[in-house]
Amino acid sequence: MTNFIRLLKLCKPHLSAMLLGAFLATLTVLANVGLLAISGWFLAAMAAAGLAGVHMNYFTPAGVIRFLAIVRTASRYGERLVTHNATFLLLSEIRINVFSTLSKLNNVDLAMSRSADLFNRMQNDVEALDKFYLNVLLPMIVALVSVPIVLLFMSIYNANVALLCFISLLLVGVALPIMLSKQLQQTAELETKYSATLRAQLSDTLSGLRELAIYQATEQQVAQCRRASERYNQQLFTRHNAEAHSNGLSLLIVQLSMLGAIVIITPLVYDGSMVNVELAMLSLFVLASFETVLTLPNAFIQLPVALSAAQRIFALEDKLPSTTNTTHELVAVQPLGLEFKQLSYNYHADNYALSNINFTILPLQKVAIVGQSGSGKSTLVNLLSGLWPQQNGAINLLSPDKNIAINTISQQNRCELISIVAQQHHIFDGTIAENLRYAAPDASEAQMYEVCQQAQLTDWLHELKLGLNTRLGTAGRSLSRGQSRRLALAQALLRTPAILVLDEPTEGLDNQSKHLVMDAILTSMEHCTVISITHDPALLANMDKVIWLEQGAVKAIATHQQLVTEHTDYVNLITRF
Amino acid sequence: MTTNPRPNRAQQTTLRAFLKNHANHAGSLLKMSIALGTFNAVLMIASAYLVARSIHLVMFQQAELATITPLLWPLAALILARAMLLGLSQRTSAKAALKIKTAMRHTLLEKLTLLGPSYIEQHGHGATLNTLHNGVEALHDYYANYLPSVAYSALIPLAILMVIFPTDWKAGLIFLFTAPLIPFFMILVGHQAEQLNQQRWQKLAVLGNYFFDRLQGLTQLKLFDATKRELKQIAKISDDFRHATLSVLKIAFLSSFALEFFATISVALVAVIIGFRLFFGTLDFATGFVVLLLAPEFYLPLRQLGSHYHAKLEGISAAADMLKILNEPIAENTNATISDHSPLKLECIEQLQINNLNFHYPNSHEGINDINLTFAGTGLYAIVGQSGAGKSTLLDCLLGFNPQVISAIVVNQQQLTQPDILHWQQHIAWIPQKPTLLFTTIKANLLLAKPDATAAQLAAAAKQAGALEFINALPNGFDTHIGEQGEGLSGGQKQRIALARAFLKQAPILVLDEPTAHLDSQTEQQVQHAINEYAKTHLVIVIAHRLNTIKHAKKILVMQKGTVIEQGRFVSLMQQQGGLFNLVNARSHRND
Repeated sequence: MTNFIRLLKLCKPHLSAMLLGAFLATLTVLANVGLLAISGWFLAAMAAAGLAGVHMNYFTPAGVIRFLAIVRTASRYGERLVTHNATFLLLSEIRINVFSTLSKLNNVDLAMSRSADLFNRMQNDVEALDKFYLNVLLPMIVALVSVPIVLLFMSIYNANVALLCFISLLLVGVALPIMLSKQLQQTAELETKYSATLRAQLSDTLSGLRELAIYQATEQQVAQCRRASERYNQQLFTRHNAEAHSNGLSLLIVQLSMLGAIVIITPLVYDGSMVNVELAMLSLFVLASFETVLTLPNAFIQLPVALSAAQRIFALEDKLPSTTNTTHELVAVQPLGLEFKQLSYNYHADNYALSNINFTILPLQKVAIVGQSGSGKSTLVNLLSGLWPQQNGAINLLSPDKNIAINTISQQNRCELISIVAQQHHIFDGTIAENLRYAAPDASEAQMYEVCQQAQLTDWLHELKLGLNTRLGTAGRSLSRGQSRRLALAQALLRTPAILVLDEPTEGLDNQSKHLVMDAILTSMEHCTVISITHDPALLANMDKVIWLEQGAVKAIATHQQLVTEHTDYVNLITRF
Repeated sequence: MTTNPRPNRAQQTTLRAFLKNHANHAGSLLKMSIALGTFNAVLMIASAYLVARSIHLVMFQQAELATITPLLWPLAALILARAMLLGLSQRTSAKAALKIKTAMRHTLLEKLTLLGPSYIEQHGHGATLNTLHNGVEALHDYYANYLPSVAYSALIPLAILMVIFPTDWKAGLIFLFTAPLIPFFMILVGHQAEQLNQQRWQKLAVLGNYFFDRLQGLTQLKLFDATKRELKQIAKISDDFRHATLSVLKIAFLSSFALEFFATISVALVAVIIGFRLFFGTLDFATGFVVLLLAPEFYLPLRQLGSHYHAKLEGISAAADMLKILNEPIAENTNATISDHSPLKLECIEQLQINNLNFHYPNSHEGINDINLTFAGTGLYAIVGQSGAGKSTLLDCLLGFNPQVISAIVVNQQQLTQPDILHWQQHIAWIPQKPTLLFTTIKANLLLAKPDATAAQLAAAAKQAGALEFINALPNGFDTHIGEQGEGLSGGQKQRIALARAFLKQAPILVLDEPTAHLDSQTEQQVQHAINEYAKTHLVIVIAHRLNTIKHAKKILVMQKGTVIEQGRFVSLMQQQGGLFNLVNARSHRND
């Protein structure tokens, strides 16, 4: 319930658009109900008047019928526009809200260790909330407003019919959907599971075609997929079956209530306590009244989905630290060194990714970090980025006049001082220029061309008809690993940090461009401190010192030459072809 | 959501025909569902007569409840029958869709296995997977809702007309008079709105993309300290999108506006005209009321057809991807020599030769030329070379994945032919750089190599591959399901399970592509050791990326631009200062 209220609060800024949409939707429904009821009454009255040979004012009802027909169509059109507008307003409200929450949380709270998982969940949740107004809120408001109005009018003619109608409306609009929704929730879990299994098995088959052939297991695996597909579809069928039953039951209730209305009214007409014309009118009125709850079943089915999505999103929001007005020390961009003091970090309780790391990097030094996978290199970079909170030990910035603990400066200041080219670099869906501007919002076109030149992207740029305006990313051109690496380096070159951190900068580059790119980076970074994770001997040879990590601890600190001559393990580690 | 451009009219016709063809898998079910639905409509017409008759009797013949009871009981029965028919009809169409989807997925998958891995690599693993998974599911609404509603939009109005005409031909005329509007509506809904509708969905996709793309790159944005700027950008894009979409919707909704308008006005018109005829006594009330009851039903199927419009589009777009796969020609067996020599018989491998092998992928410059190699029955052979030198292509040819060139391979002086490939592959175990472990238990994954392996053999193979220790440490041991425990296994662990699987097969030839990424040092040593041991009694061919591997190799084959430029042992090749020397030192010395 609290989640429902919090969701409503999100809707508040767009209340007027939403209410207007609800008003028009209600109007549409009421006009439609009125249209059918009055048509029934009109026909009966005309026939009665014809038989009795009395005159009748038929202009007014005929006019009302035409009027309602027009109101219904026009308000339906208006309703669709207004409600869609409101939906889009809410959609952007929700997205901004989610994005701002996520951007304020650190990566531990986001459980970034499985970022694909987080991303998929977020996408599903946001999409479920996108239609909250249209699919959940709107039908509820329409029913809440129009059902009493319809029942009020009905009870003027006959209270028993109104009561019958009310019970049927509750059954069709609330009871049945809630039952169905319970049923669907039970199957939904299995459905998701079977869908994932099917996907995994199909994926295995596609990526493992060669291995399956070698192990003569292709047929077996295809049969496996067929079984998974059948099982998933069978599960889906349970849902479609439940829906079909529910639809059948609704029809039964709707039609039986009309029958019930006839049974209730007939004796009244017979003994003259009710005008005969009202029988025709009320029977159609009852039939049409179900229009008020037409979209309600879907709302009840979507409600739990939207609420559980909201719950997850609000849970993240609740993790937000309360904004404290701590004044951060501001460090200007200047040559800075780094000091790691008794730094330890664990992702899982008893498994240290880093344990008791101690070393110092002097201002303007160029330092390489090497190590096998799992040696703690990336954790070190993560801690420098500030997106993972420090646990034990300290990282200090060394400036000529003083030492500052890195976690006392603001995140913004830290981003300004330390520029990180991470290994999992994201190329955004947008033009090359837009991607570059993420690194430096004020970069001029000339500057962009210059850094592209330095990152050896010029040949590629020349091939592109649109140059810097070529779209990249999911909706645009996909980049090779080497191109995406070079673009990341170009972004780094646009910035002027005090400390540059590179994670495997030359991986995926061919031998020729590798040297040129590295030269460019080292020249333009003469005025800053460089820390690079790398196993590239060419780059290692150019570093002032190499820090060799093994299983979360420092194994050796020396120059590349020293390590090459003293450790064969080191030579094996860095030689890959 | 598919990324295909919108199919044009001619393509749509092809695609619809294709989809209709595939309905054959459940054709009778689909027809039954439509028959049930139409029968439901017939019962609806009958019940309208009963309702009108009862109301007429009560209103104008002073009938009491008992008088009309004989009408009301059948009415109740009809209602019950209708409810059951509706449920049954929807259930049947869902069942039909289910059958069609399963069959379609199976057909696609079988075709893909025939097209082979290179087709999937060319078209992208993700895109192909999406077609197989979501794409096929997108057909559900097409078959379960759209196709039946097309039938209803023709059948139900026809049924109503057929009943109305004998009852009251004038009322029938009113319907007939408005009937020509139906094709008009169809055109309106079918074509005019289509483009706009499509635009609307594409725009929605663009916005969705933008937002989710930024969400995916959130860490990147944080590193650039760009989240605040991006927040503004998202707000702006959402707003632009809203304006653009609304201006499209204004027009797109017009078509359904017109449809609703005509339907509603027609019903209102029918009501008014009938009212006057009743007033002047030229029509009895029961008939007039029937017409009023049936008028909305006359237009309903058409309006429903409009609401299934999106299902149609989705189905057709998804079908485009499927048709592309199914129409793809299978690589021709160019070298289909009638095997006049005896089928392949191999007790053990004494010698393996590759004679004058040339292979190029279609639409690609990359390939291999003039490969002539000889391997002995045992020992470790390492293939090295820069990426793109043709190492993987050579292995693919050796493994029989390019059947056209299989005759270049000679085993024990016996030339292979295409019919031999299946048998040939039984003699090979193979581990790619990123091995595929199937979504099942570790045990089932291992058994793939030797279905009748005993537990002891499984353990032995795992031990040999250095995997036994960590498998036993897992709570469920060999019965651990891969992929169920979140992240599951590390890259090194997966590598070792694949190795165990290969060892279990005890094939005379082991082919493997070494992982380029740095496994942890312990894993690397274990794997290295296991492979060296295996090479003592078997032929091992490895694409090597590490110094340790090639140092121990019996022979190193250096590849460059699709050919083997030198071969020999490590020490002698390094002394020659040729290709291998350059390769090994390419990263240690600069600018030479």
